[in-house]
Amino acid sequence: MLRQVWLVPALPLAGFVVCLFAGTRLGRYAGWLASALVVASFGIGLGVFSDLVSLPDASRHVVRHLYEWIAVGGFRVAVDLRVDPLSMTMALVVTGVGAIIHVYSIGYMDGDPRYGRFFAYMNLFVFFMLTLVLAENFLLLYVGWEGVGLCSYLLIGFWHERPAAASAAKKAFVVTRIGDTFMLVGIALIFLRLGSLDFTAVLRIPCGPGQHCPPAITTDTGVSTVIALLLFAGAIGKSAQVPLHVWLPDAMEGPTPVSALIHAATMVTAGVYLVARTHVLFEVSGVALTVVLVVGLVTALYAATVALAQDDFKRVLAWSTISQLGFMFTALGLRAYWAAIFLLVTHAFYKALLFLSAGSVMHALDGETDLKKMGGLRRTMPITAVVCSIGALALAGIPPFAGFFSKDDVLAVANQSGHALAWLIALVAAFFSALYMARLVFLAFFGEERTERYAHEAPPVMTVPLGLLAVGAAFGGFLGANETRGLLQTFLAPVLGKVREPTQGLSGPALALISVGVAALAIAVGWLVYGSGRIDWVALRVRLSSLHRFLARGWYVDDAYAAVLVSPAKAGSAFLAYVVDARLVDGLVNASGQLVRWLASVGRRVQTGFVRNYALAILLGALVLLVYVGLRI
Amino acid sequence: MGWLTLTTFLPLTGVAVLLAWRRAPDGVARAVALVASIATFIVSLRVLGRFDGSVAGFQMVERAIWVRSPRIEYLLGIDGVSLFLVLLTTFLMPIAILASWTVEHRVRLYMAAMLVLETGMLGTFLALDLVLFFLFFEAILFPMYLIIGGWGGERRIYAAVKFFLYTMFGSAFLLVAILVLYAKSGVLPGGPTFDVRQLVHLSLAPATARWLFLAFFVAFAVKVPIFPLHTWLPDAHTEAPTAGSVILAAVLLKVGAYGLIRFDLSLFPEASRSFAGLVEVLALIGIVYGAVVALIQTDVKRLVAYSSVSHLGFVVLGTFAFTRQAMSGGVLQMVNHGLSTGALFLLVGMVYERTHTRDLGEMGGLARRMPWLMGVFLFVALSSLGLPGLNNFVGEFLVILGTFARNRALGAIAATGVVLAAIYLLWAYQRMAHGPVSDPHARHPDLSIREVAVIAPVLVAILVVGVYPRLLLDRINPTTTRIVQQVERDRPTDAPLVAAEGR
Repeated sequence: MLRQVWLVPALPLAGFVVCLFAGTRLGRYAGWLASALVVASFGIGLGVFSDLVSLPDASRHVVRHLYEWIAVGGFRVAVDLRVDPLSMTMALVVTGVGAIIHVYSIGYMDGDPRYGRFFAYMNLFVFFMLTLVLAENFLLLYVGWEGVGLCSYLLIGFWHERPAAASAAKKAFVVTRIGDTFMLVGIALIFLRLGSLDFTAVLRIPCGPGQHCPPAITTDTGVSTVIALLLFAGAIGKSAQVPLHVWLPDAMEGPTPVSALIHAATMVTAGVYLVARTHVLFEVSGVALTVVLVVGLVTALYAATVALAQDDFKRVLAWSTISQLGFMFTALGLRAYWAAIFLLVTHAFYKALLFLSAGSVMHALDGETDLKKMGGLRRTMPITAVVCSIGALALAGIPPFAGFFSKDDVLAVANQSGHALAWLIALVAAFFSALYMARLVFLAFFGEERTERYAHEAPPVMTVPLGLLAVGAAFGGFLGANETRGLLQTFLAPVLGKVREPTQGLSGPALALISVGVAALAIAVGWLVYGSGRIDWVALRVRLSSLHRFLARGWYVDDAYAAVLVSPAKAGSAFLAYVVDARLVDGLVNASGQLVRWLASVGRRVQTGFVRNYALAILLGALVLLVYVGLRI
Repeated sequence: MGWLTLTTFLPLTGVAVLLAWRRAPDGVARAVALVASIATFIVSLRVLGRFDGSVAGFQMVERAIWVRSPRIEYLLGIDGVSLFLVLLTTFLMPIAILASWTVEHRVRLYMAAMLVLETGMLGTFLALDLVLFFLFFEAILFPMYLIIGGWGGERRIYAAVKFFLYTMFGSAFLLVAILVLYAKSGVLPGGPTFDVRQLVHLSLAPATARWLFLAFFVAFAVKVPIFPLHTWLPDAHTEAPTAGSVILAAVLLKVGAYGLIRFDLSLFPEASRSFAGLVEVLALIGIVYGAVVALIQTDVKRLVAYSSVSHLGFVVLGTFAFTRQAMSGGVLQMVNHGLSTGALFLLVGMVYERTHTRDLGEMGGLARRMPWLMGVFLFVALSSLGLPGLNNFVGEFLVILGTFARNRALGAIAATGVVLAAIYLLWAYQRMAHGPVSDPHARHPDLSIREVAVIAPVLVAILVVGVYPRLLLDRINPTTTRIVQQVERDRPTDAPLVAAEGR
């Protein structure tokens, strides 16, 4: 099956074409067709995966050459697909979780006038995401990278009659493109310094002092720092890290399955994948790793505090995603690449599950997302309540659910690699994570009902996918339960390096105990405030209104951007257009035109304004010039 | 008669029919023009088929003595730089004519002007004799002036005169430079000549070469247009009828960029190098300035016009970076800009025919009414903003890469144009297509069959170039390699740019 790996992205692409042009004619079948193709893609992915596993460890990287894309002089880039443990892990997550969300969407999007178009875009997204993770060189990765950005744009703005959705879509594209452009410059620099864009050539592993790395990297750590940071700028944009995180909360304007697939499980993790894939460059640099660590930690903590104050079900989840991605970058910054990918995989399960639960609630309440207007939904929506709680427990890090193993690994690495401060910050962020999850669940599903609407459970086409994801969120952690010899760690080792045995810090069980204790404490606090009914949280919010507003508005970062960047940019643009261009540049031209007109009218005593007169004047001028030049030269 | 001559003058057969048949009904006049332009396209495909991609120099050269003294020749030839500009012209002309189906008055004259324009443009790209080139170059001016002034919008006369005068201003310099060059060419073994292939071997005093470089440069800079000589463009675009805007943006601007490569770089390599820094700065200003000014425009045609200033900046930047990647990227970008911006003007025209406004503030919600038309618009906008997988990305990346190799700062600043393009295009698209429907009573039919026929070929071309650019690059590369080598030929060897860094 290894040679057929191109089918993995090709099937969703075919689905896109069919659904785009025949979407209306297909009607409801469009959804089934699109889902079937992603399932088929997943199946072929499994086949490729099993072939890969049958190879010996050392030769588990296969490049499938399709065709040469661009070639000028020494610059050559091909459309090559790379099959190795990392790319296949990502491809299986994308197609697996993607297939589940596709099926769910059949029910969720039912009755939408642009039903076919929705599935066309979803399939296109899967195609580009697979291109991104299967690419063998930086430029093809960039095709997928921008392609998923496009699909994100199309799907956030899917209900584009709503101005908020249209604006959010544009914002997402533009903000991520700022990061993308840095990345593109980084790619150009990679080619100029390393002479190739192929991963096989550039990212030789192992690569460290004295080993067989591309010479330009090892001799000049400055270059690798610049390259790594430029690539990381792209990751910051796509994975919504500080300071380019502002687009993700707004992206919740899109249909909820989109939030689950693109803005939780897959696209936003592309930055994590990129850093993991190119970790060689980051390691040689060293400085770049520190930057990754700091950005990850800051984002993890910052976004968790903001999530505490959101009243919108989906926005809690959006800020939570930003925070969780921060945890992944923290792991990357600590050189625990496998831990980042492990968290990425488990997060894909439980965050997709949480988003689809949100979708289920919205489906029941006519699109209502305000937590203040929910409450007590566990009685009318028992399945959703259970699976959502599983997702929340997984995220909070309660054993045996998936997040316990993956998040605990990140915290353990921080402690055991001597980054005590990082460990403390991550622990506080973990506390807030468990707290906002508890708040969400208690507000939505417990307590008294605060909605007038009659809630009801969703049809099986939606609840079955929820159940599948719940299984993943509950048991996915066992993929990597054993810290040093887990399935996933061993599988990824040829690409990401072996897991290092801890040399310092607290022991594993002690750290696990602390993590669980913190999470349990947070849930207890959450219950006390939002679930027990003993504290009037509405009154509490009024008492702390300025703090609440500060958190709810994301520490006013977006407002600051509007004031400092957007408004001056608009004013500057208007100045250039209406003053410089219209008055100054064009004014000079018109003035010289006036001059010609005046000269012509004086010299020939004829009312002009006819083109032939101007033309004559210019030709005369040319003649004069000719004589002058002829005399001089 | 050779294939190049046939391609160049075939449109004139249509003109002859139109002029002879004075009472031709409008429908027939349209059909004659369409048939003539399609025939020209088919003949030009034959040129593509005969083109040898391994040859770096001129091919299919046709030669005849025209005037013995001064020796002016009828001299046509094609190479990797002109090949796809010729094809772009013959490809877009039937499309522009089909898009002009809605022109209602004096159809015969309009169609004749379009066909004369086509011959003028093709001749400009193919002529290798400077006088012949100049004649074709000027011959473009009159039909374009007529089309803007005769079938344009409210301020069409102002725009047409401005267009005409600007270009004439440049032409004056061009004419002088051509004559001076002829006077200097007596030292060549074959005697004085206007033959570009011979003039390449002429060694001029540095000062002379620089003056001549500047004279050629001004003439072509107006056409490109290079900042600050661009202000005729927004007016001309805004007032021109749809097909006029399409041809203006897609082909006429390329005459300027083509002239820079064919004459400025080839004839004056040393002067090109000494002015390269200045030209690159102007190109960068164009990229950023055009994009920033485009941001605030409310007239969608003006917006696209300023986006052209920005995009053509990439072409000029690529041309003057003197690396193979940048040069090939620049030539590819000429074709790409022709496809994408040509398509944008076609679509803006279609929108205008329905809404009767070009003001973005008065539009809104069009995607609900016309999902296909707006979907196509978005596709073209994405190509224009350089989405990878579509045509513009390939050229822009090559330009950025090639420029970056020469100067890190220049390449990095150019890249900001990519971000700005996303902002102005998506913002314009949002105001046009998204939000609530602005005028609930208006009837806005979606794409008609004729409109699909107009736009579909361009969309296919945009996709094909994006996915398989080697179709073009493999034929462009030998020529651009030759030109870069020419320019770098007698560079003092302290900076072996071409050999460095894997290029």
